[in-house]
Amino acid sequence: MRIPRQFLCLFFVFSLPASADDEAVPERAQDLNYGTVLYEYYQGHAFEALTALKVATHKGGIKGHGDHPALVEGGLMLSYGMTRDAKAIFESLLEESNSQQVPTAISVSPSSRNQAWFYLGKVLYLEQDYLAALESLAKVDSVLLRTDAPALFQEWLYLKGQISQHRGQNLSALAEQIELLPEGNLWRAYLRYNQAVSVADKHPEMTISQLQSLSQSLGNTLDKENSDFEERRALREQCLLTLGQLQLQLTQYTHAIEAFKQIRLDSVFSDQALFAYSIAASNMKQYGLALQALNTLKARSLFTPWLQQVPYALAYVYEQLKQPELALDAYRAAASHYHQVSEQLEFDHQTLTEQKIMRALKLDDAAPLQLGIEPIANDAYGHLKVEPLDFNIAGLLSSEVFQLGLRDLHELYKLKFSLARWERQLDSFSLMLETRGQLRDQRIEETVAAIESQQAEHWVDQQKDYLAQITQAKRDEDMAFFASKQQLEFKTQIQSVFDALERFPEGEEKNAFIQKIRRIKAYYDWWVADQYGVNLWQAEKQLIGLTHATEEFNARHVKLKQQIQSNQQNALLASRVNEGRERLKRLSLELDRRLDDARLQLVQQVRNDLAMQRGEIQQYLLASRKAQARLSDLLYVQHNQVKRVTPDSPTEAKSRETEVEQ
Amino acid sequence: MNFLKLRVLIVFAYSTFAAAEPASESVITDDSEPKSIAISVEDLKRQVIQLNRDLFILEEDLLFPANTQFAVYLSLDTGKFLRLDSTKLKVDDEIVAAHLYTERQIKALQRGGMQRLHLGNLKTGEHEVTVFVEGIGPNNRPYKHAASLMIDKGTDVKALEVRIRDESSTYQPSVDIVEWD
Repeated sequence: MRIPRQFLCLFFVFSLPASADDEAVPERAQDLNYGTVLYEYYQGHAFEALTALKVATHKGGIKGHGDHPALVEGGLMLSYGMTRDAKAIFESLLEESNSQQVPTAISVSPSSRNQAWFYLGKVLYLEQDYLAALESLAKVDSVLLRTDAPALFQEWLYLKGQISQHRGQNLSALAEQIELLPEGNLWRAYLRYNQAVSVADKHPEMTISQLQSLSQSLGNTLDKENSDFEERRALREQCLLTLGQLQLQLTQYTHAIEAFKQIRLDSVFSDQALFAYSIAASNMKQYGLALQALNTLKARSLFTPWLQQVPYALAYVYEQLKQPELALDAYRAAASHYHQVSEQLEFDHQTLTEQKIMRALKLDDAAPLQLGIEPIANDAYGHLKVEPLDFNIAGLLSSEVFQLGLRDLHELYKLKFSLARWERQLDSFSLMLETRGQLRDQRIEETVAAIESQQAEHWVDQQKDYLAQITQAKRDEDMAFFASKQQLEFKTQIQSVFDALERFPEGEEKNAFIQKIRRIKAYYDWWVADQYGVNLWQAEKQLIGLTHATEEFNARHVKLKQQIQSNQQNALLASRVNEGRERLKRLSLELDRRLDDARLQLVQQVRNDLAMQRGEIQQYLLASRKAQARLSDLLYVQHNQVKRVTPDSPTEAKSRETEVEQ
Repeated sequence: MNFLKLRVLIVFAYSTFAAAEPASESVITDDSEPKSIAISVEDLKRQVIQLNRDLFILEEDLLFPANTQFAVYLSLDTGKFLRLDSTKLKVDDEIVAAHLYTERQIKALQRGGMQRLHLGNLKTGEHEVTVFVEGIGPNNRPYKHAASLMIDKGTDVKALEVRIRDESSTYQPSVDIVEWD
């Protein structure tokens, strides 16, 4: 009867948009990295979400969400089983925000803060760290929790009551929590039950009275319409079973039978109730009723180890019914059964491995259990939802110690698989860097060849030459040097006219032409002089552009040379890959060690349990054989007495002797 | 005969004094061993997360350097008008990502999570990004929508968000691509 309802809240409480002023909080993620963290977080991928959160922190943190990412981190750690880290985060964050009392700085609502303390306390309680759990629960603002989350408030009272009981404190502390819970509340019923059971050793009558009152109260509040109907009914039946068993111990057989009768035949407690009923009936000499109960049990599979008592008890009842032949057969069958079970347990004990334990478990959907594989369902506290296939492990599986061991083993396998993935990735990174290096070398060769073919050095020299010429012409104010293309063409034309006139015959006409061309030349000179400033500016502009281009080329060239000489970036990446590989190796070794420890611990738990079961079975085997011998003797004596009256045939006598020997 | 009574009492001692715990909070018998293992597992987890973080960053630096890195995220509004089924992302006529959504992923998106739909490299210059969204729209009708955006990839990381929202004015979902600085 698992009740996941209280666990479901764990993820949700930390995901609320927590702020001092909830109205002002944006609904959307204000940071892409935070959005991806939430995406993993809401899917229950705590490991991936924590990694994403760490990556985001490394890249400069999450912006626009105040301290809420830290609260989410705490919640993630809590659900990922990193309780101590979560506690440290909550303590620094929540206490700090509590002391600041500045709403704008905290961005964690008092409600979320309160619930964070509650869940931390609850996880610590489940881990049996009662002192730390109490510390966290003490930080919960009870008034706020009562108005904000009444269901959590009731559970908070329950947890406090349980802790006070576990720590062996004065029972008045427990009574105080019970009083604070409303009448008819299920948490109150649990606490009342535990309160009653805790005094059973010293004051059994008081326990009986309390259990009677509790079972009656639970019976009165049973309502099929209520969601907690099943749970309430189961608790009532557990209450009745305990009550009956206690009455049985105190030899109040009639009352015990009355209590057992109220437990349904299809209840989870019906096996125990039927067996206890048969004991009570047997003690009241009502062997028929006892036999009926035991036969009902016999028809069921002997799934739980304690039900191994049934074969012996059946034979015992036959004996009490004065049916020695039937009893002898039953004792013989019981001995054979115990012998077989004992052999099996011994074999299991000797050959127990982790794989055998896993084969004895199955998942909710009947699939075989393979630890470390993602689809295994678990609750918010990491407990795996598995069922036993082998009855020898059923009792152990229900214990928190085994559950925690299984959870840890599963988590360790997950980590191992994650590391194995990185190992493969790092191999491919190395290959990639190697290939990248080769490509780089090839590109460098190509670039060097291209630079050489373009005679880049020659152009740089030419640029220097131009610079020198221009500087000189500027100093000399050599206007012709800076003449434009058009002006140069005109100059050529004028010169060609002068040349042509040289060949002309002397005379008036020639003189007129010379006069004319001289005027043109004078105009041209004036024009060039007038344009000198403009032409100089044009030339300088071109030169500046060329200088810049040359400088850029030089800079690139230098950089290229540096790149050719050193491979710093790739080397840095390669060193990071190598460093990662080293860390991975160290962690893998550590992980293997932890896996061995966890595996050994789990196997040892099962081995101890099997040894304990075998010890019990051995006692039943011994008792069955003794009873078998005793009855055989008895029957033999009785037979001999009859024989004296009517002698037996030799064959019959021989067969009886063989039977006794057996 | 006494043996049976003795055994019965042993069995009773188990069941009678077992404290009642709701659900999986089963009876605890020994608490010293698991705690030490739990602490070491916790310590290992911390170290693995740290290594995981460093290797993720290394992977990103190696495969998606900042000057060419291009990432597309997807966010979903309450999803009142669209039950998201699948998305497809195209960059310059080439499909670079496609995704089919599970119920769990949709819920994670609806609660404010953002899916990194694509992480890749892109040359500097202009590119066209197109996203195709499919699902069940209003009145249980199949819904298909595409949105495009021309982007100019510089030498910094370029991040886009495909934003699927409910338009209460039109009772239709809307799909936009938004650039992040």
